[in-house]
This record gives sequence, structure tokens and C-alpha cells, in this order.
Amino acid sequence: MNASFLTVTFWILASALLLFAAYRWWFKYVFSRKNPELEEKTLIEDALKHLFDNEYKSLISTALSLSSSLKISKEQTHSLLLRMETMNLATKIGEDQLQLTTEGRAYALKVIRIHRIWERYLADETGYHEDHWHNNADQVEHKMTLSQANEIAFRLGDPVFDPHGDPIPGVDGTLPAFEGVPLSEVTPGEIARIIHVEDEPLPVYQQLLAMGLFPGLEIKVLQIDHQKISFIADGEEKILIPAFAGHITVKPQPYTAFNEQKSLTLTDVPLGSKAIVTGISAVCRRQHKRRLMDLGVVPGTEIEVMLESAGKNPRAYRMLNTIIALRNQQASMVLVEPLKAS
Amino acid sequence: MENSGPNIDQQAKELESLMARVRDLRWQFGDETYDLYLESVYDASQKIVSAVVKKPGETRALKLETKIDRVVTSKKWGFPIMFLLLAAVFWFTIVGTNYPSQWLSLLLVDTVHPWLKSMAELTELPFWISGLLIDGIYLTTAWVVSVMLPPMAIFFPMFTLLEDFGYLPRVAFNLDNVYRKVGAHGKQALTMSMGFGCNVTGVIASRIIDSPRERLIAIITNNFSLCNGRWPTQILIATIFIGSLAPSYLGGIVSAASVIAVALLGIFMSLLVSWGLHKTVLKGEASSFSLELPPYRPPRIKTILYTSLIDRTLVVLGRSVMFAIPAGMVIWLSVNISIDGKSLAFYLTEWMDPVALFFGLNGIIFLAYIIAIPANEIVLPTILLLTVLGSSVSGQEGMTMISANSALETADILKAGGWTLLTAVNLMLFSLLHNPCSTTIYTIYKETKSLKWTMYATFIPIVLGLVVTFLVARIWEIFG
Repeated sequence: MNASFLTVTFWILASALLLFAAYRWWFKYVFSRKNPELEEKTLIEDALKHLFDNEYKSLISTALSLSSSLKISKEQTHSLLLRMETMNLATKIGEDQLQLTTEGRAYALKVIRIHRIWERYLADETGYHEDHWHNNADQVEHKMTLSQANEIAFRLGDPVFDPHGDPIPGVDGTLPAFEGVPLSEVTPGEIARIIHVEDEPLPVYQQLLAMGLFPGLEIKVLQIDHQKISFIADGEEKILIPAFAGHITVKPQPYTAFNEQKSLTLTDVPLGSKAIVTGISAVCRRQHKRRLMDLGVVPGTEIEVMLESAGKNPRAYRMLNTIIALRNQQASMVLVEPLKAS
Repeated sequence: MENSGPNIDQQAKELESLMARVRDLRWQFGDETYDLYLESVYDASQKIVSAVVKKPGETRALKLETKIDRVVTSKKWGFPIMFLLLAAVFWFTIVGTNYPSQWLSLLLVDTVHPWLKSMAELTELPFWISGLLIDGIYLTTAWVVSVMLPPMAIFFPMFTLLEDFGYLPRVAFNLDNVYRKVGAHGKQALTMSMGFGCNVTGVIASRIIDSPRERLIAIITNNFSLCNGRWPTQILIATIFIGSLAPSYLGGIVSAASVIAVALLGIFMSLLVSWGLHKTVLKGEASSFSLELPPYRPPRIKTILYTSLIDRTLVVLGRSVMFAIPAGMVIWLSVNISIDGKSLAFYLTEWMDPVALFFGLNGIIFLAYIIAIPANEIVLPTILLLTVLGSSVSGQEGMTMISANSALETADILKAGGWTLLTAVNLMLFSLLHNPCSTTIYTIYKETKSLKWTMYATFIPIVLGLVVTFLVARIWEIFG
């Protein structure tokens, strides 16, 4: 055995490994892309969702609205509609208007139920970021069965709303009547509660998230004209263009009391001071919220800031006679009223 | 019975309509019934507590505790105190291990082994039975026990002492800032420290992290904590090759510093890999972090001794012995099965040498790491044995020569085997950055229930190790 023979052995092994890796990649590429059955199912279910969504909001669906919503060509839309008609899922009324059949509506509600339950699951039980929920659920809804979704719903305690504020259809396929109005149609001076933030298209949703707008937030509308809409939310004046405001659905509230001050959180309390908990922010995800409540963060609890680590994050707080360290991200969810130093 | 049919049907219908009504109400009033209920429970219990419990005001103990906390978590003193305490634990372990290790080796290797051999000769056992049992299984096991038992018996109680006193949560509190920045959980600081004792313990301890994503990160990166099985290798090689570069009065400090440098590199690597995982395959938001800083309390000596000696030391030792037995057989066989007068181990080593030298290591080290997959602590004995054989000593004598575990003789064996400073440095690096031992791999599989993540945990360190040793070897070539 001489050295050159061994070097050759080494290079043969190395290239074999490379070839193997390339083969694996090719295999994955070929098999992950083509699945005509799933592709057709996905297309039909997405079309059903579009038709149902318009029906729910009392809007009219046409072949044109369908092709632009699914981003497919006229011809594709045409053949898709033919297939849906033969499957008795949708029918044409008059010239161009599309309507769901009873079967089609039940099917659409089933898909929507799976989608929203899965979003609820992602929000409550996983660490996925908000802007991943919708796209992930859009894929999962075509693969998951209704009984799997029902199982998840059971474990989550049968939720009735998805994390964007939309109602989840019941097992029997019922859905409450659509209520709420677009933010752009509220009368100035009115107090309203955000009940839905549209998650499509993604860039708009991300923008709205970044502005700190979420279901459950109460706002007071200041001014509305055709250029901008201004309102107070969480003690700050915020401005939206009407096109963006249309992505937010609100429910006007009957009462007139509104806190125009920015609510203080635990992170605003200086080291060594005390504060009383007034609540937990509505943006706090359920799993985090329950964790905080289990620690005793409920309205009325007195909290003292005990320690700060280097970088001031995390900090340690005394609550119910135990010392608990929280990252600032969690502490900023706790709404408080500071106590004057005695 | 006949009447009950329609009755049950009616009840079911009523229940159904009731449930539908409940759902309608939830649609109308929101989904927060659980939270409201929890709030009311806390509210009620708070009222009862404030009515019934007398508050004696802040006690002295609480004030003292706050003072201690302010110091051990302060910007100025937090990190120095942490490093000093950990360094002290390691120093005690290194220093305290020396004598008991020698006694055990004197007893098990120098006294019992020859006695067993003579017994075998008396009873006229065939050569291969006595070789396999006494030179293979018994000697490897004896080495593992004498090398591993003393450091564990010192390290685990001291670590449990810190744990019991309540200091470890403060460490997690101090380090959380760094871990948050790499997208990991603050409690990973705790599982990492557990890994310094044994990676299996570290991996199992990752259960304290409740978010699955961050638990996976903690499990995969735990192997970057130098474990008990690897400390002896690090210490011995550092003493022989790096400590000897310095004047003798500085030797101990220099070799200790180089070991600590390797351990720090491990911490750095665990942060780097955590960050990499967080950015690629384990994307996601940092989950909530809430950590109780329990009150300090006087350590309970009996509990500490029990948990550290029985629960940890004996369990870990028992497991490594279980793995040392088959490994001992493999070593003995590879050394004693020969083709054309040369042993199997010789051929394997020769074959791997060119590749290994490319990475600044040698074929013997590669072979030793393959044989020693079951347990890291037998790496060095295997290397010594194979090196001795390479310098054409017969298998029988070689097996006995590893009983010569004083540093000086080991140094002579290795230097005769062609070792340079580069080999030593790269062995220390490779010992940090290579696959976890088979027990750890098995534990990772049991904890994650996923072949995919087990593979990640196994191969990320190997690839990193090969890259790092390769780079060091090339840089060495340029400057050497």
C-alpha cells in the first residue's frame, strides 16, 4: 500500500459522497414538486374559499374575481369552473355570477374550519411568528382531515375564534353572521374594538402588525377623509391610508369611556419601585398569558422590580412573595399602574 | 328498557342544542372564559389571603437575600463571580482527582490485573479466553473506572451543592441576555452546565425547557459542553504537550488555562450553533422566559451526597462500564487478529493515515474515535495502546503498557508515535468537536423521538471538528 493509492481512495470516497448528496437533492426536488392530485385539490378548495368569503361578506363572485384571487389564467379558471360544476360544488347564475351549492358551502366551511383551527394551534402552542401562521395554514388545510382538526380543536379547548379574530366554523358547519365594519367606515369620535386584521396580502399584514394593531385592541377614531384615517390606539395617534384601513374590521362599542393615555407596562417601572397589575395586553399569546397568570400576574397583584441583569434584560420581579425573572418581551405584556414610593 | 331509547335520543338532542347555544354565546362574548375564570380564582384567593394571613413585614433573611442577589447578578461582579466559581469547581476536580486515580490504577491495574493473569495461567485458560476477558474487557473497564470515578465523585457533589444552594438559577439569569440574542432559551445555560458533567444528564435536563423549538436547540448543542469523559483527555494532553512548553513553575497554570480555553471555545460553539439553527432549520420566536429565583437555603448535605453519588455518579459510571466491555473486546480483537503478521488495527490505521494527517491528526486517533464511540473516556487508552503497537511492540505487552499512566511515560509513548504539538492541539479540538458518545446519541433519540434531529446532533459537531482541525492544520503549515 503506497501513499498515492491511498490518496486516490480518499478522493474516490469524497466524490462518491458528493454524488450521493446530489442524488438525494435531485430525488427530493423531483418528488416534492409534482403531485397533480394535491395540486387540483388545492385549487378547488382555494376557489371554494374565495366564493364563500365573498358570500359571507355579501359580495359577488365572478370568473374574473376568481382568476385574480387564485392568480391563474382565464383558461385555467374556465376549466376549473367546469370541474367544480360537474362535482356539484358551484353553479353559474345569469351571465357571470358564481354561487356555491349546498355541498360546496359545506366543503368550504370544512376547509375554513381546518385552516382556522390550525392557525389557532400555531398561535397558542408553537413559537411560529405571526406572519408564518397564514401561509402555513394555507398548506396544511389541504392535507389535514377534518377529524384530525377536530382532535386538535378538542385539545385546545374548542376555540371559537382564530388568532386574527375570525370565527371558527362549528363542527356542524355553522358560522355566526358577519358583523363589524371596515375601519374606514367608522364615524369620527366613535370608540371601536378591532375584531379582525386581514392577513392577506402579507406585506400589508406585516405593516399592520408593526404598527401594533391586533384583534382586541380598542381604538378611538379621530378623523376620516379620503386621504387618511387617524385614530388613537394604546395612547398613541396612528394614521392609516384608507386602502390599509379596509384591511381592519372593527365593532363599534356602545360606551364612551376611553383611556387615551399610553398604558404603562412592567418594563416602564424603574428598579426598586412597585406597581399594581391592571391587566395583560391583548396581544399576548395565550400560552404566554396563561403562564403569566399561573405566576400570579392578575389584576390587583403588587409587583416590585428586584434585580436587573447586565443589559437590563431580563429583570427579576417579586410577586406573591417569590422572585421571578422575566424577559422584557414578556414584561411589556403586563399592564401596570405604578405605585408612588412610600 | 324499551322506553329508554327515545328518552336518550331526546337528552342527546337537548345536550346538542345546549352546546350550540354555548358556542353562540362564546362567539358573542369572546373566547376568554378560561382567563376570566382564572382571574376570578386568583382574585378570590388574594382576598382570602389578605384577610387571614398576617404579614410580619420584610424579614432579615429576605433583606440579606436581596443583598446577595444584587451582588451575584450585578454588572460588575456577576460574570467574574460566575467564572471564579466554575473555575474553582474545575480546579478542585483536577487537583482532587490525581491521587485517587493513581490509587485506583495501582489497585485495579497494577495489582489485580497481574493477579488475574497469574490465576489464568494456574488454571491453564486458553490464550484467547484470558486475553479477551482479562486484557481486553477487564483492563479497559479498570481504566475507565480509575479515570472516571474520582472526577465524577468530586465534580457532581460540588455541582449539586451550587444547585441546592440556589446559585444556578442566578447563572441562568445572568446569561439569559446572551442566549436571547442567539434565539435560545435562558435555561440552556443550566443544561449546558449540566453537560459539563455528562452530556446525557444535560440532554435529559433539557426537559426543563418547555418550548419544543428551544428544547431541540438545547439538546443539539449540549455536546459542545466538554463532558467528564473528555476532561481527562484534555488535561493529560495539555499537561504533556502545552504545559511543557512553559517554564516548569508555570506549567500547571498554562495547561489549566489551555483546557479552560477549549471549554470556552465549546461554549462559544454552542452559542454559534444555536444561532445558526435559530436562523435556519429551527426558525421561530423566542418563547416566554420565566424563571423562579428561589430563596437561598443552607445545603442539605445528605440529599446532595445521595443525588450526586447514587443518582448521578453510579448511574453514569455503570453505563460507561457497560459500554467499555464491548469496546474492550473490540480493541483486543483488532490488536490480536493479524493478517500476514500485522494486526487488523495496523491496517486500518495505515489506511486512514493520509486523510487524518491532512487534518493534522493521525490514523490512530481516527481509529480510536471510531472504537470509542460508545464512551469518550476510552479514547486515550485506545490511542496509547494503538500507538504502542505501531512502534512494533506485541499486543500482550502493549496491553500492559497502558497501565503506565503517569504523564511522563505517556508522553514518551506518544512522542515515539510521531506526535507533534499540532497533533496535540488538534486532538484537543477534535475531542471537543466530534460526535456525542453512543449513549448520548441514544438519549437524544429517546428525548426527541426523531431520527432527523438525532442526525443533526451527531453530524454538526463532526463537520465543525473537521473544519476547525483542517483550518488549524493549514494555518500551522503556513506559520510553522
